[in-house]
Amino acid sequence: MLSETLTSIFNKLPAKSVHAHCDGPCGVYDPASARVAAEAVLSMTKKLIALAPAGNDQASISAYNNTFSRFVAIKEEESQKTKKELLILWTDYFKPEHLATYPDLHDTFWKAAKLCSACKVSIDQTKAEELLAAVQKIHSMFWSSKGRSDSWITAS
Amino acid sequence: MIAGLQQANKSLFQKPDLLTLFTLIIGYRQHLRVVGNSMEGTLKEGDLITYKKLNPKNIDLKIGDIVVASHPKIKNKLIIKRINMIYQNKFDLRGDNSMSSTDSRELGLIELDLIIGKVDKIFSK
Repeated sequence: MLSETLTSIFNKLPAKSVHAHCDGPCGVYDPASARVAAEAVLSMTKKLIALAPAGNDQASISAYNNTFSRFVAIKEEESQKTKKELLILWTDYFKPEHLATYPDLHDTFWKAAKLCSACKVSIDQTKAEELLAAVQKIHSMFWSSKGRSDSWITAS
Repeated sequence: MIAGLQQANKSLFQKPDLLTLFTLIIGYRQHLRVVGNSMEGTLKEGDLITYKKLNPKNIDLKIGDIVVASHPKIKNKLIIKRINMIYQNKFDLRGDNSMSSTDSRELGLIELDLIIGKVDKIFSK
């Protein structure tokens, strides 16, 4: 009892963060991973919207529920992955000096992260398309900050 | 055990206890929560660690210790690493998960005055 209480207290204890840095020591960043994940979010959203049971019998309903659950789980996972990849770019790659060139940098990332959450909360194709557009904007910022203008090519 | 990862020092791993809680409350120990995976093998995201601030009169740091340090390039950011080597009061700090760690290989040697404390307890999430 005491042990469980103490464990609960320790798990909830407010604490500052100490960073076990997880960005690669080579300093390699690429918004491509965010783009692939955002594309997957859009793809799963479209598939979910199009999904319907093949019939009214129990087997069809079960198959529908199973596929629906799997699609939602993938959409959830890819949304979270998109957010993680964007946060790495935002907090690790972009530096304060980039703000002079991209004054809306923080706003862009913040809204993109919010869209990742929105894509988890609902099955909304408009939000998923907005997320992909936000990732494209970040893609452009990223490559222009490196003095390159890599074109936007999607996998799907 | 993943190849290339440091072996965790088992003695640091503790179960939550009243004494530690008391020492945290009175400020004898400090505590922090781990973010990131560069110390994977020993620390994982969400783990709570405690440390004692370094006593300037008795610097007791040795190779293998896990320390909390101020990031040399980013203000108000704390990092947690293991002492890999010591060169005349300068510290080569490395993450246990060398494949995914920003450490002295990139940041250079860390000055003693950036080292804040030595980790003395780990509470796995």
